[in-house]
Amino acid sequence: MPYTTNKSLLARVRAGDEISWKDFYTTYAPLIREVGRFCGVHGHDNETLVVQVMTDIFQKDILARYDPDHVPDDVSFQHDPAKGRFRFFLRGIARNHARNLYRKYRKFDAFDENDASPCLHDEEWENVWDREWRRHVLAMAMVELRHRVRPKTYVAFEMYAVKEIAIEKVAAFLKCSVDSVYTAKTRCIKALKEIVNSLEEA
Amino acid sequence: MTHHYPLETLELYRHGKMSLLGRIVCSAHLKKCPECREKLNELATDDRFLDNLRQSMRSYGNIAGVAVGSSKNATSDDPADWDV
Repeated sequence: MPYTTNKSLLARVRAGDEISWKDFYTTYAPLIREVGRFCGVHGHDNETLVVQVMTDIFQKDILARYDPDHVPDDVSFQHDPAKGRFRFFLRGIARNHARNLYRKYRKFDAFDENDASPCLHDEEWENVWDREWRRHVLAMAMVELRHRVRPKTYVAFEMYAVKEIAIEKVAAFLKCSVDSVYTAKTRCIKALKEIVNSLEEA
Repeated sequence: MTHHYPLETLELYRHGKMSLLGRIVCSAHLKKCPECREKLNELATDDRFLDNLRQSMRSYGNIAGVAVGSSKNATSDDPADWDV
């Protein structure tokens, strides 16, 4: 796991915690990469997109001062609620950079109405972003789940419900009954839904 | 007092893991018990939630420290292959 607290990074953003570049980069780079990929920003441009968004968020001359993989921990940011909800704040920044990179890649000087890339169309972009955001939130919810339930409950859930290992094998491995694995699944889903709801408010 | 099935038992029912007699009794109960039918619907909703979760783990599993995607994990008999 990229961080050591029992809260996901999104929960820390909401709480107004200071977030280090390293934690932020490790958590959000996959989301930005994935959204960029869906929008036609590939290869080197995809990585550039990640770095540009990060640089914008941290509002510092990161690229001139540091290698993105070796930024000191004291380079951090706190989300300012005046800038709106974090998910929309990040969505806006990511879209601006994705659109610029895409247009550069395609050598477009102006919008082409026939181009289907979501980064050129507000509604499409929001759909792609929102879908990936939900998936990303689920991943962060799993981080918090790990700290909310007993280790055996978490492992039973991960093995059976996430990795789809046959329930009899899971029960045998954990030396418990099949009923217990089902109970773990029910408990974890209930907890996950609560965590997701609280994270979605960020 | 009306008897209701716990979720764990309904899981056994819907996954075909009950005895034949158990299935017959449970099926008859479900026909006349809206509460248990509702629980069964909730379990189906949970299935969709889990589909989304698995999709999420395939894209962002590294964030949660969960590696998903190898079908080997789901089929191997050797716990050493399960990557827990």
